[in-house]
Amino acid sequence: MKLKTVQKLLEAKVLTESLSWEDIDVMTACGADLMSDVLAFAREKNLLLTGLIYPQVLRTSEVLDIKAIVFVRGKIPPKEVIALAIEQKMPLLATKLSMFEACGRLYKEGLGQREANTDAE
Amino acid sequence: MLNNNPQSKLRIEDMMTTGVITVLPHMTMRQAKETMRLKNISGMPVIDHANRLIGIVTVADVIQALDEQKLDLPIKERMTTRVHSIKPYESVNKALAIFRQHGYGRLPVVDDQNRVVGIITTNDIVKRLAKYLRLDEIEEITDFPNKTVQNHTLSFNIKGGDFDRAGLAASTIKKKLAELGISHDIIRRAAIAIYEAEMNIVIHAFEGQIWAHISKDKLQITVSDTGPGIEDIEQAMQVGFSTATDQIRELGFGAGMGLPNIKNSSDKFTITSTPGKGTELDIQIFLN
Repeated sequence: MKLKTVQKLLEAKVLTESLSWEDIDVMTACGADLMSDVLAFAREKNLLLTGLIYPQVLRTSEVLDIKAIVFVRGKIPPKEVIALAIEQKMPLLATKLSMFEACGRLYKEGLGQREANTDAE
Repeated sequence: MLNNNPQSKLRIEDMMTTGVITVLPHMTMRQAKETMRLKNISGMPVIDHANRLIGIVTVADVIQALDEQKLDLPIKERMTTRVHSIKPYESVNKALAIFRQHGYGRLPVVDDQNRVVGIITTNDIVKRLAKYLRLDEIEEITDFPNKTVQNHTLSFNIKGGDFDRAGLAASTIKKKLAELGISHDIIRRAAIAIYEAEMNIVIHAFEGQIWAHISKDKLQITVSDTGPGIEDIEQAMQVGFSTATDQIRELGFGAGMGLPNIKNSSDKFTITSTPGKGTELDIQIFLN
């Protein structure tokens, strides 16, 4: 699924506008607020949905080759985290939806249905 | 660089933490316990209304009060009153001597009127010395340059509590493996194991070192730290078991997945630990 579709489905705001993001392809998603769970369960070409807004989310995503991050529940990370994401070329989106609804909308539209993933929330 | 005896030139005020969290004597042991938990500290100076040092209360005092069900007593009845302290203009050598002699982990720093102006811990000294001695820079040694497949050794010094740099070893080694054309799945497993090991040092230890040795057929990672060690390794290996503080959990770590994640990501994994001294991990990932 293209990130542009993800953004539309989640009515998400793009926090890293200077990066090109619309055509990035994600195969599945991982929804978690525990970085250790992300490390244990996330797969490749993944989209990460999380309520955590610390820089550690970016480090974890870098280690796992996560393609983009969606912050749920209306959380917006601090400016420094956004700056670090731009430097790291990691697109960031933010949605007001809950983790449950955000994951639900994406799954319903077919994201990750062939490769069921974990929602640790 | 420094001369023969770097500590002698360093003064307490160069290394101490200011803005110390203190408590008042009439507060309860329960309040002391909560403050320590929330602020993630293991001891606090007790002061009077003029900010003068009158005692110290530590985790050990809290545990004892808890054990005797006396958490509602005022701190003044449970604190240690014969407290060693140090002056900001005194040498780090003196602090080290006191730490060594009495086995303390911290010393309140007071001015000439006995007012608390800071606190110094062994960790503050280790951190600062590491910076002076440039121990936290990454070293890379490429050996056996004549072989077709080169061996590479990367080493990293990791400081306890240094969350800003946590993950640097994992991402550096990851890039190196990618440069060497190692397969994606192996890089991923290596990155996860190293990242979790790094987080463990940052969360639990005073300091540690990660060595990654890449040879023709395997990646050998040795992780060694100085810290509290692990009392019960079998328990620590269980998914979900954790001793991390609330502060660590807020960062999304300390879920009791670290060691199991490392084990699952490696082909061979051994862990040894001495309580009170530190922990060592030996991680092997086969490259073929």
